[in-house]
Amino acid sequence: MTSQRFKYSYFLLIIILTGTLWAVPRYAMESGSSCILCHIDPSGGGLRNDYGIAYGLDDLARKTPDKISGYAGIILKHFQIGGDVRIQSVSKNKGDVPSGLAIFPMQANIQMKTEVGKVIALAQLATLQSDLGFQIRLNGFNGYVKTGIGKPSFGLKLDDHTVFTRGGNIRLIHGNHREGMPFLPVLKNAPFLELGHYKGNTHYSFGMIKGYLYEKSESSYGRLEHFFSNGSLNKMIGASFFRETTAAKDLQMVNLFGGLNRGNLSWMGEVTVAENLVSDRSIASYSELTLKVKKGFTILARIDFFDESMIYTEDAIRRTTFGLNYVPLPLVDIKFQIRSTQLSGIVPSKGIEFLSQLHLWF
Amino acid sequence: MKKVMIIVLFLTGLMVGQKRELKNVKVLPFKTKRELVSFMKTVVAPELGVKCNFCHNLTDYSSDEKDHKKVARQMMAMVQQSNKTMNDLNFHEISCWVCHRGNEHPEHPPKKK
Repeated sequence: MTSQRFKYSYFLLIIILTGTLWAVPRYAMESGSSCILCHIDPSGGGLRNDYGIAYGLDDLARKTPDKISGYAGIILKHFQIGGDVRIQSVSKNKGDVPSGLAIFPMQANIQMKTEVGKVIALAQLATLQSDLGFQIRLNGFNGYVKTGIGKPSFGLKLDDHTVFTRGGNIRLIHGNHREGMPFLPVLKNAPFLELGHYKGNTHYSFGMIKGYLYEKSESSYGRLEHFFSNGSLNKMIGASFFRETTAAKDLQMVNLFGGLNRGNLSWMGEVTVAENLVSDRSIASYSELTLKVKKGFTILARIDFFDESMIYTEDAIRRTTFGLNYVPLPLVDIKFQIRSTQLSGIVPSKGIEFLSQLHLWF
Repeated sequence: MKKVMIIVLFLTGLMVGQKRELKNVKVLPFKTKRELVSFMKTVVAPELGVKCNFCHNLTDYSSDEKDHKKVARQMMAMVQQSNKTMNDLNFHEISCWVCHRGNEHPEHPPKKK
């Protein structure tokens, strides 16, 4: 039993350990603007700008004590410094019997930014993975060109890498060749060049990255998003592609995403179709409904789906998630989730997982 | 290679990086970015029914390249001047809402026939 528990904890650790920094696209949709509204990196995630810090203090937290209401980030003379720390626990029930529990640090990242005229330099150290990210960005003509060592911008860029449209399950717990799209959190930052432009409420970007999926891979990617609103209804639509150009059978992915928000109710979804991920065409989808019950409390229901081969129906995975997101104070984010996975065919359910996560940022 | 880049960034920032202070703020009285952002987020944007990119270049908020920002600056100067008068008359201060009512452009009364 102890050995089983250890094995289970170990594989959970591998599944969930991550250095990826993703934004929360729901916040972007509710704000009706691109990730750069709150983050220094136009691709989102990581270090927040002045607006992002103010948004975290004023709009997300249940209460903002006076002592930290004036927090504006850690500013040294020429640097802004920030970070994200996540600690996660996961337990799994098989029937009524708990069969595993793991509590572990999931992320401990430090980011640093400096600015010289129209040039912004941003560095990120993922301490748990010993991975460094770095980018230099030149702003101009309502757009930017950035280069350095990082990750491609694709799809909704969800903050949960275990959804199938991102990386899914690293350990193939359902016996498939793959259980999710290839954006696994274990992939290291790689050299890239990206161009982006903002036109009204539209943002589009194109880039190339080398050695991201594997050592000799070369890939191109692009992303387009548009925000618009009719009165109190905020809408977001977008599309992206990723194409690997080195292998004999190139991996190609096309993604469509979108979202709607009205008052406290939001929906977001995306679909990714991949050619040559396994052998033929694979598909992953994600759909999430969230309701802000009151300030600081959000409940969610989510279904995500993955079929590694659209020809066969026996290998599809569907995961249903219900959760609560509680932000008691600024810079503190607590998540609880219950997940259950169903496989197509006659394979029995893989049980229910309970996840809780503490996220601190500054 | 990555470590060298981080060290170069650190040294460059140490030597020539800009201090984090308000840039190109000419009319509003705020001294910190936090105050400025909160004012924009809670007063200006909702009272005009717009998002930040209506006036700002999102890659450089301090830039004056958008005409809407130049107009907004003049409008804010007008409101400040009006509030001096309102104070003298012992009236409540006004804000963008008085005219805009959550719209980009204030509504005008119908033309008399």
